Amino acid sequence: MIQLGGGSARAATWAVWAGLSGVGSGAVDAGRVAAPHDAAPPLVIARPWLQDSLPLVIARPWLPLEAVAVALPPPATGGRDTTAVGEGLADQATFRALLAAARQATVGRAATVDMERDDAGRYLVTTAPTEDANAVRGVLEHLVEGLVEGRLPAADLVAGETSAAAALAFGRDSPRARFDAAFRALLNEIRPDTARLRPPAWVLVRRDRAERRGGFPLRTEKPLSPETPPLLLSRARRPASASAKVARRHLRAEVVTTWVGSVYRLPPETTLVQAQILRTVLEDWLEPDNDPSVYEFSTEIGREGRIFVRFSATPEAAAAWEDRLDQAFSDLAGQEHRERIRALLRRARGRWSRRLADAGGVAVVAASALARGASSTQAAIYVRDLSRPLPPEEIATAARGARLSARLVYGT
Amino acid sequence: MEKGSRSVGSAVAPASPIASDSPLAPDSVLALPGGAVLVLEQAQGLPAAGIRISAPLDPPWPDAARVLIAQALNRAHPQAEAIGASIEGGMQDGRLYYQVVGDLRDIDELTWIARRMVRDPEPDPAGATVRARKWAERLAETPQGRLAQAVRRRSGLGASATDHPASGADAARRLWLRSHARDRLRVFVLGDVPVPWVLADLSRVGAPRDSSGADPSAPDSPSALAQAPSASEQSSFAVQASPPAAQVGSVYAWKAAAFKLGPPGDPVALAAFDALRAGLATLSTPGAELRLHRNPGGAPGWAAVTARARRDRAASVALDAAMALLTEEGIDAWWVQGATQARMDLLETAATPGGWLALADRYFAGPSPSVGPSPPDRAARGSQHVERPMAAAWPAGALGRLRSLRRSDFAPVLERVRATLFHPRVGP
Repeated sequence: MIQLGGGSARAATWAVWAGLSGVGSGAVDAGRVAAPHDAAPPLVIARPWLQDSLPLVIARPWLPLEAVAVALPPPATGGRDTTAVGEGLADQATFRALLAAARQATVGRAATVDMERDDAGRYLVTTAPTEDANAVRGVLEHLVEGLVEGRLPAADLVAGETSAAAALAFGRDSPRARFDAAFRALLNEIRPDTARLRPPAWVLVRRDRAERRGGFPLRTEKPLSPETPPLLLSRARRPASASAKVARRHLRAEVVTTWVGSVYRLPPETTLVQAQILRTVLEDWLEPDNDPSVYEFSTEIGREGRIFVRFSATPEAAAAWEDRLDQAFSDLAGQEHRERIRALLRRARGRWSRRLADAGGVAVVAASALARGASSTQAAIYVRDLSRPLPPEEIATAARGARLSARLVYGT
Repeated sequence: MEKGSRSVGSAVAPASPIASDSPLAPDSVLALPGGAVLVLEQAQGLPAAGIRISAPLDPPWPDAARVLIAQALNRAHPQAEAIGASIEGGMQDGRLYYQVVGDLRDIDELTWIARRMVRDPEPDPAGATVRARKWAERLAETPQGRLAQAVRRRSGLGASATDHPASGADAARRLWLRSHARDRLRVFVLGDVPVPWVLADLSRVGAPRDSSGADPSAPDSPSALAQAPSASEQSSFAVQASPPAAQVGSVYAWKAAAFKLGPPGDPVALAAFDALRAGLATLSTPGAELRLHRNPGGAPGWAAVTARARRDRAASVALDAAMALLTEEGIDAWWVQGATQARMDLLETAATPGGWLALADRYFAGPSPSVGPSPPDRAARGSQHVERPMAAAWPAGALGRLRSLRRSDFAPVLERVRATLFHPRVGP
């Protein structure tokens, strides 16, 4: 099994992680996000009560249940054990075992347990009624501690390995799996050693703004400092080692579908909010659903702040879509489409608001920011700002600085 | 959050607080003279807002309702898409509903979209009518579809039926006039919006009572009932529209059992359903696949189990094993888990804007009869009036009931299952 952080002694591991990332250490920040807009929802964060795992608390007074999410950043291998889906078999087995153990431990309780993932990490997320939430949270803390110390239940590990191996074997020889593996390999080439050792980071979404737990009171709330800088991509990114040269690769294969994966680098002063909104607007700008030649289309913000765009299409359409994609960044950077961009920004705001209305959703979004290196305050600001109006100029600036850094074409 | 009274300006008196501190009970309920019942929940901290408008499915013409819903979604889609809102329409518990959820700051647009969805149908809904008809035809081509039709017939909803386009359009309009009368609508609003704003924007949705000089909601209204097909006629139409079952080939043997668990939203019925689901998840049925269906054919409170196998006997054995879970002995192992799961399902649903609106609509029991005069009296007096429902009628009551369930509470459900159980033929 591969351990997150590689430590075997709990104290040492926490110490190493705290020292490496700054998460879970340093000054405590807490408070209510100032609302510049009348209708902006109040957002309260507070830190913390445990020495080892200092959670970000997001208060949603209306919620009838609580959500807990724990971010598990990429393991010490950095996801470089390249497979069809990016993670090594051991990593997948471990996460499957963790999920299985969490579900087993909550049988009989009114709770749900799920796992989400993105390029920045895995997120174990639970929801439970307020009266059960503390117990469920305790179960999770215990399990994550077991994960850190390498003592997940053996039966769950074996079952996890079996199911992970079966899942890998199932799609191993498919063209899609080969494309994913090749794209992951390309990413590893252009972002050496991007995995950062971070400890698990906790997010609680709950109704209460303050409570006592185990004798540790939550800190007094105070308004978030307007001086708190947002999370910049330069913070999430390792020191630049990639050259300006575009890594292009074309893997020939006798397949009837062409897969294209592109990586765009954004200016380091771009905030994570701007990157996410730009990604959302980009999808709407291109309207891939309206083209029957395009089968799949997805975008993602990588852990180092790059935008990944993947699509599959007919071979005839794929080349044209490569050009459309590049042109889209130029269009979003220009002045002539400002009104349409403004309209798409509003649409993006609505979508993010709906995503953030869900307790589990807001927990995972905040956890993802923590996994990318945000402080608690920055993560809270990130959650707040995702559903705020963003000036088109900010999108234009980010798009203007976007540069294609890698592209993989898999097909004829 | 605290439940309390809301100042609603001079239009109406302040709403009485709902007698519950449950997060699932609404803040206030307002009944306006000659207008809709407004149910408000001021969700603090939520970046989104939602509006749901529901109307009784009266007369019970599901195909005409489908036309209304399809038209409503078509009308609203461009505006909803423009602001990243989600829209939904359908039938639940004998009511039609239209729902929109989006960013709180787009509340004006959300209201406009909701109003557009509820407005009167277009005179030429051929597209929607044809789609409804195709839907009904497709229903007869699959085991699930045949199951849905059979349960609809058994539950009294009538099997799916669709008139030819012209009369379908006419039926949709007549349904709208009758069921969407203002005083028959419920309007649910979830979001951190002030009550006066809600009153101003949403109190006049629906069909005015005197739009045609007659009361379209009256059961004997000529405009409402002229040429209306009866339920039996609808059923016979569906039989004619369905392709003969023998023409549909299958390599599998299918068996089905359908039954009523209880009224829609009944906590014990919900727990029994989840107990059955939990039991099925652990049931070993070699060579057979079991599926559990909730509300097949849209029949509220009903459930069904289907078994699919290569061999007829294997399907029968699997179905018998499944139904054994709904006996006095079979329920023993699962009822606690079922109650826990049902409670969690309710909470999870209530934790999202769309889910809360749906639950509020389901558990809305109407204004308490002890509070406030009847609508005509109110109209005659010309006064505004505020009413409130009984707190126990809201999901809070259901949640409390789920927490305190006893094994003996399941006896009536099992009895109801036995009384309503039938085995529709769903295979070829």
